[in-house]
Amino acid sequence: MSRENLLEALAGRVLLCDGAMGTQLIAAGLEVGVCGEGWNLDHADCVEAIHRRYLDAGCDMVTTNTFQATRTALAMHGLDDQVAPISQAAAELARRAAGDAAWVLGDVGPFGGFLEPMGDVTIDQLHDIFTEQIAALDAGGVDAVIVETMSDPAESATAVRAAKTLANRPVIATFAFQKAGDRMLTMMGTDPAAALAAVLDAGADIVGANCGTGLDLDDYVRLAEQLVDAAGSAPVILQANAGSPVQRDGQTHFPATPNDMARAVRRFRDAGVRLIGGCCGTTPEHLAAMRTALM
Amino acid sequence: MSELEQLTEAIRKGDRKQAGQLTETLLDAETDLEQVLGAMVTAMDDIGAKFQRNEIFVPEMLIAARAMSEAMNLLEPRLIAAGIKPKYTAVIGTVQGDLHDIGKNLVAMMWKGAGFKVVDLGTNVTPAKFVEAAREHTPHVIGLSALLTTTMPAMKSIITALREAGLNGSKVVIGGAPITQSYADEIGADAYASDAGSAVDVVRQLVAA
Amino acid sequence: MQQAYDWPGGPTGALWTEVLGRAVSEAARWGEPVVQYGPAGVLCWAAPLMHNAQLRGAIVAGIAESVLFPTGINEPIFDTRRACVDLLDRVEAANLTNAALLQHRRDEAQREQHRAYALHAFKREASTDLRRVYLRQEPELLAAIRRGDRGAARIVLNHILVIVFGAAGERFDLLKSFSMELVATVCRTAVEAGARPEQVLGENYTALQQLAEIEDIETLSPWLCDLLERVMDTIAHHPDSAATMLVNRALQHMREQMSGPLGRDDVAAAVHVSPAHFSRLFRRVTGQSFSQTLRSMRLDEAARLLVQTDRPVGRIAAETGFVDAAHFTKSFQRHTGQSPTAYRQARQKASVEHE
Repeated sequence: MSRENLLEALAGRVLLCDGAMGTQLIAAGLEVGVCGEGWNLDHADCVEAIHRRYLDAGCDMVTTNTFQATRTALAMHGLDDQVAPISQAAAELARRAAGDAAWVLGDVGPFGGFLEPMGDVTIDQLHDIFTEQIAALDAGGVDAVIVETMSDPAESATAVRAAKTLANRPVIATFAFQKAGDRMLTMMGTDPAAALAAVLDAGADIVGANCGTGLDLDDYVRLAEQLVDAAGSAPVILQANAGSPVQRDGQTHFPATPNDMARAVRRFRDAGVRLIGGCCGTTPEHLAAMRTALM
Repeated sequence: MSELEQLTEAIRKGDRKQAGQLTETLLDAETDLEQVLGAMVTAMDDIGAKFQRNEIFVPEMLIAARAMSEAMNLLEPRLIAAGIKPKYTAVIGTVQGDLHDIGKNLVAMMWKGAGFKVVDLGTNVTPAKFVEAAREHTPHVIGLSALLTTTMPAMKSIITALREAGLNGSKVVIGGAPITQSYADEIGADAYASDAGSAVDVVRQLVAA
Repeated sequence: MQQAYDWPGGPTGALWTEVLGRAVSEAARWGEPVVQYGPAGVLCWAAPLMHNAQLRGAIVAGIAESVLFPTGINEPIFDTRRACVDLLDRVEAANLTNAALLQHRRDEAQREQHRAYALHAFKREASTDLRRVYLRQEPELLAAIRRGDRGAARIVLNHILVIVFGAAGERFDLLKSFSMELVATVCRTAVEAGARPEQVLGENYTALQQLAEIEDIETLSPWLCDLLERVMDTIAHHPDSAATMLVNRALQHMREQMSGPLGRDDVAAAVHVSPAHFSRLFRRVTGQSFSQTLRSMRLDEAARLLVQTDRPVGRIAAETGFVDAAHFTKSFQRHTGQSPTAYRQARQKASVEHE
């Protein structure tokens, strides 16, 4: 019948999000350099089919194909007047795939520049940029908003606030960390504690990490421990890459097999992660193995 | 502290206003232009080294670079008028299929800070455009940037195109999140830079060689 | 630690563990501290502590009844309700407990409570003509939807559900046809309120499909509540309904602050618009002036307190923001047609007769 409240569900059990979208789109024929978010309008069937594959793999939720769908990110493709149609279509087709059983997370990624004083964009302008996209996701019927792959805590907090002002629904916030010596920091030099504090303060309900650079599965386990520590009462999300990519015969190769991910998932869960998913290099096969591991 | 040292310090701290004022003062006092440039390069070298040691991060680096370009905007016309040209030229761009420019912009700023003339080709740059720019500017180095694992193979096509066009005078340096030294070796790049700070050291070694 | 609660001749540790355990699990379940009577006349309440959304423990506070009510004094010297709220506020502010999860549970509990209250009210009004009651309630529901007032809409819907379900009894086919009518009316009103027609129609279509599959009352009731929430979503999140959202925030602020002196300018400031602009928006969205709305909000709350509590009339007047008890009585009479005391007596008497 109707979906359970996401926070209530997470308090009771560990849930599984989906895996990568970009690499699936390329596998479906998206050419490099073409706007993947544009496919929500002109290849809706392909995007919906990818959502369905993740749901068939046992994912509890799907994430809309709107990672780079702010006005600023779409401007790189000359699509900056298409913010609302792209995000709304993305939410609607994800909902079609998910039906009533699975949750739909509305994806919001970095806007592609820097806030003042490093860049030229003010917090107010950025708030408007995020609001425009999130309003469209909302209109398309998402259950929660996920603000992901962020580096700058101020940028992420702005997106979280925009989401919270607009809709009374859970907001997830994740950062991309990399190793800096023996620490884990975002590109902007923020550690997990400071990054999570910023988004919790802005009202995020679920916090954690996704993607990252140069992290292997052991690193993700260490990161998970730090996140659980820093999140306090909030549930933690972790969406790991399938290991750190290597090049082989001119091809990019993510080393972690579905079995590797399945083993890692148990370690993430034991470290206290409540919402687990995949990022770069993960496929429906990875997610299916992860689902089995969680049973 | 001399005014030159103050300028170095202002850029290091990222104080844009003060960097501009000090540069004006120095130029009004007819200070040797090379010395003013030297003060700026010292600051950016320091920033690059701290960045490599994880002592500062992207925000501090960007703020310093903004202060530097404020000073550079004042200095540059005087350098041109005096016939002082940058010793080295670099061409940089994000490879075809890739629209990410943050890393590429950081490297461009650091190279400018090191006193290079930098020609920025932007993002999604085709092999043909790199060849054209290499002919036009005869750069000492060409920098290739890629963030996506799916676009890094384009680096190989660019190097092949440059070599086929007989443009062997420019050294190629590559970088970006998925790039490694072994990938640089595999595709025949002259060097790999792991971050914007080391990108300066790497090209200095290349042009000195 | 529980040893610390023991004292010679006092209750045993095991008993305390049980009482405190109950206080903690009840607090987590309802999303707010629950006051428990402990052994030896001690009142205790607990704020749950959570890590990673999991219940890990609690901060427990308590006071002995003999301290709370010193000999010869009937009014407690200490406001336990305020202490409970204060404890929870502090724990939430320090991120020691999952505020969002507790808020969700509080909302759920409140919905349940409204439903129970409506059921109670219905039992009292059972003798009156059902159709008339429903007809009186329907415009209230639609008005609440139109102005995007989610809280009020929930209360009225619960009321309607109780009345209609009570009346239809075992006639499930009747209930279903009524529900179908209600879905259509609610959706039409949402469109009038500015929701996007295609979205609401989609909602309407899915709803009717789902409704066909529902086969028992237990599923039907929460389903209708859920439908209302989704329909309210389509209004609240319509990008053009900035005015509705603003007025909603204002209404929320008014509900929270109604016990104090509250002027139009205060509320306008709380939602960050100029007083003149606020007045225009407020009237456009609610169809009423600010002061009319505030007055009926206060009187409705007073009516609820009169029936549900046995607090003195003067105190209820003060709690709902009336400085002058005589003025309260006059306003209340005009609003309900009865004096506060008569209103209370009539309702409480009816209630006793039913129980």
